[in-house]
Amino acid sequence: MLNAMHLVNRVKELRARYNWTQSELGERVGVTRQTIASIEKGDYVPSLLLGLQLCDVFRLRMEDVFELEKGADKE
Amino acid sequence: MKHLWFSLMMSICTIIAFGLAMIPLIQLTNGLADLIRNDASGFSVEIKVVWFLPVVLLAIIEAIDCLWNKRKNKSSFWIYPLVNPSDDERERAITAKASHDAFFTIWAVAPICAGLMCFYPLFTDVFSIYPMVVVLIIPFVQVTVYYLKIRRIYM
Repeated sequence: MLNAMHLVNRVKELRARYNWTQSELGERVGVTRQTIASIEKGDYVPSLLLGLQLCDVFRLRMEDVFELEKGADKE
Repeated sequence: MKHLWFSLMMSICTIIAFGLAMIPLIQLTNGLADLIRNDASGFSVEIKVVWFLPVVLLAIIEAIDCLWNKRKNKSSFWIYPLVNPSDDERERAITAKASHDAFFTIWAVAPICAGLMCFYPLFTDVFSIYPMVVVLIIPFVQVTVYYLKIRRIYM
């Protein structure tokens, strides 16, 4: 049995709270606008380092920004 | 994205221009082969400079673009006009995946091209640049696959 897991994040919501554009957030963590857009859409799972950098700019803990979502079991 | 398509077009044009520039050189070696076969004392070959014009033209365009966008271009001069996006971890990951896919495409295309070379004797007289075309199919496919994969970076 395999558990399908997805990493969900609150980057879009938190960015809106700080009133930053994707480019501004990208500059703060040293990535491109497209990378921030991909993370927000869930198309790209950031590395641990980038994830921690995002948490750092939002001044939040990892579990407040990222959450592991367990999907349906697969056989 | 525009820069990506420009780079793809320039890469394909470079491959085609290189193939065209080989035509007079193939004619030259054909003349030399005839000389050896017929044991003649001399031979004459007419080389048309026009076949080298696309390469020269591309070199001028690429030199202008390379100098014009000197600040933007981070890639080496020697791999121009290819692009190697690596501004952040996502770009590096996509570029690595594109390189991986392009490599495995060659694994499939190279034996096909080797198979196509078996038909060379049929084209020796009518299409002397056949081997050159077959060989250049390999970088053409490789470059096309690479660009189709890295376009995800800008989507």
